[in-house]
Amino acid sequence: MALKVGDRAPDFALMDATRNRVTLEQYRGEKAVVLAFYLLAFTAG
Amino acid sequence: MQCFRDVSRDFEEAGAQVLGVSVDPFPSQGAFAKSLELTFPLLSDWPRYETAKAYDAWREGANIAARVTYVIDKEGVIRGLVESETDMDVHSREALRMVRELAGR
Repeated sequence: MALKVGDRAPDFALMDATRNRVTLEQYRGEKAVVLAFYLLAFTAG
Repeated sequence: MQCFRDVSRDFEEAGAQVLGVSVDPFPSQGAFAKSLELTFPLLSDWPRYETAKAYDAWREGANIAARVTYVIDKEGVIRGLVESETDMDVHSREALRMVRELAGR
């Protein structure tokens, strides 16, 4: 892993399933973010 | 993602927002979210996978995102990461432990 604890998290702007734009920035100062990457949908887990 | 759905209220109480990121296109992702009745946003990184690449979660050639979970504090700093290909429960369990620690509980 190139990213490690203590690094600044890269910003992102992604669409949710209803096409709302979600960015890391919008949680700044408000909430911690748990960003979970996962394998293709419908795989177990 | 079932493991995160099951404990999403716990994350909420710890002041954390869970965001799932997949490389699936919108149609299958919508079906996926609906099928699980997820209580947190499921974000699509398709078709460019820029976020997965930025977070080292993209496997070039394999066309899949690795199973990795990041815990980011509210100042935007990475405070923890969980990697396990075999046990997704460990992702939600460890991430929850980390956000509770951040919240001072």
